[in-house]
Amino acid sequence: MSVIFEMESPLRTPYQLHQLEFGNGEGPTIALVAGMHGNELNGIHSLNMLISVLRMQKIRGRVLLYPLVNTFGADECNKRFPFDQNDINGAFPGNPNGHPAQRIAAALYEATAQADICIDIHSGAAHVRELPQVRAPISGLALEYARAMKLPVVWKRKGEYFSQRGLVACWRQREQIALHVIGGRGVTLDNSLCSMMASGFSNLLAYLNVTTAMSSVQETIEVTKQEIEVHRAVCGAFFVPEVRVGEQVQRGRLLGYLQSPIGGERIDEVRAMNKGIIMTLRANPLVHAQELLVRIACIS
Amino acid sequence: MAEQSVVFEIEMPTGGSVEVVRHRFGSMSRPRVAIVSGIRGDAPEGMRIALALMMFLKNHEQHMQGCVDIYPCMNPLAAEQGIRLWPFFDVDLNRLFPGKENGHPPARVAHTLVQDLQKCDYVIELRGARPFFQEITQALVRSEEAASLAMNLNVQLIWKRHPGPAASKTFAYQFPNTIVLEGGVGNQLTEDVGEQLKNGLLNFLVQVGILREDVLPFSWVGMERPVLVEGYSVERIRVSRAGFFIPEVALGSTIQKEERIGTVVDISSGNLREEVLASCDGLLMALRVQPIVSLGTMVARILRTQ
Repeated sequence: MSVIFEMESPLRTPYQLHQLEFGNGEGPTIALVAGMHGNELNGIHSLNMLISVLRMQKIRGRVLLYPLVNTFGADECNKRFPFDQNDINGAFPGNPNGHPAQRIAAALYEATAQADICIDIHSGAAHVRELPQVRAPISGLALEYARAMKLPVVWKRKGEYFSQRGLVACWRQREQIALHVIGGRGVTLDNSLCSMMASGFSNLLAYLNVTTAMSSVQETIEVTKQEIEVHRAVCGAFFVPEVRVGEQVQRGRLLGYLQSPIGGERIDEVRAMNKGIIMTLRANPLVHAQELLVRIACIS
Repeated sequence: MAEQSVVFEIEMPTGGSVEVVRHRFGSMSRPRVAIVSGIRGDAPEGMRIALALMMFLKNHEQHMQGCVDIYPCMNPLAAEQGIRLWPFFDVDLNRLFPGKENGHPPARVAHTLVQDLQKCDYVIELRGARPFFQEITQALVRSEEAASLAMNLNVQLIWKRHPGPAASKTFAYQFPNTIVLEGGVGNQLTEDVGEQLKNGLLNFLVQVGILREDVLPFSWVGMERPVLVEGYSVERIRVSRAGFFIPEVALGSTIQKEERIGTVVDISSGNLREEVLASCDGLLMALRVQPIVSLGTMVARILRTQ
């Protein structure tokens, strides 16, 4: 493990950006980044799981790992960088003379620039749980690599839906291959979903012939926006789910219901309109009108 | 020679650490004065005064008799962000005293501080103004002895208060003669307030025999002659409507009963919702500077004319 960037802080020990490097360099270089949001813990754990695999393997190429970028945020369970509440993943390509988040972003952007592929790993927001999924362009080599992960869902998206100041967006603006992987829920640790994500990274490395295949094969559904069924709250209420992420549901299945937070009167039922896999599920039951409750990756 | 010690090291989950530091000036002889600031992270005025005092004592340590311990920042993680509560745990360090030897880090910091101060002769806590308020300089005390000592601290007011329900968990409560210094504007520095309270502390050190009068960079003649009041002498003015509070009087001004202190207007329409009137004759000792108010929000404190 090496410190590739250090920055003094007002009162605590200096901020340090850590990099772990595996391999001999005779092959492609892959960078995997987690923990830019300090309250998203699943990416951190999945990379640490991957490390235990890499330590047993002969690596042909290089694997660069940044398991926890926002250490100060993580110490406080804070998505953003604590001093000025800036989002590191909204500060790319960064500025070595800018505010702290921009300096971290600049250092990370420069460090990952030597890679051929960059994977940015996140959890869902604190109020939703996501089935591990890779978000990829609708065609090309990036999609091929996304498929190679064999994560439960490949979500093909047109254009760039995330912040134009995000790491993946900046990589794609340079016409380099970058993918978003999202799994689990913010703030909490979803151990089994972390295992799926670690397997996905291992699958990609094996596909690129950087490592030898080890992971078990996972079933994958590939969807576009039109193939995702979305349910939103009809009003502010208390949402009680009846399914779990990763569960296969049939048309008509009760996914959950909205009830009055005080009194418990049932207000609305949420039912599947298609056969599919639950890919996103509301975790915090108190919802506002039009908030996301469930996403189903439809099986055609 | 001045001595810097780490009294507590907060180990962070990701591997870094933060130190809570004590600066000791003079020898370990009596009297011993402890000056504590930064228990909450939103009171930078207290930290500024502590740092100014440290700079002075560094240059005058040869003239000292006794010991001054300064703890400039007890809650560094909150101070970094200018927030009141200890991050992650979201707890108010000033509601955790006397602390716990085996609790979470805030509780252990509280415990460590109380243990470290066991043999102090005088304890002074430095704060700023409460959040959202500007306040005249004042010393909060609960004993006659502390009130008498506070006469030397160059404040406009000494407020002798009876402990409230939460008081037993505060730092000041742990030592009966603690003097709490406040003043200025919440979560920011006010130049003259910092200078006034620093000078008051230097004068205090002269009065307790730690410094010689001739090293003071000012004359004691110009010091404030504080008013001593009991808790019941202070009137709290609260609004009875929610909205946007616009003050119409200045801090420190003398006001009459029924005089208009300000208005509450409806934020959407700008229509007048309430005229906020003084409930007594007196001195305006605190005034709200954050204008959004709810029902019952305090907007001013008046020191009632006797």
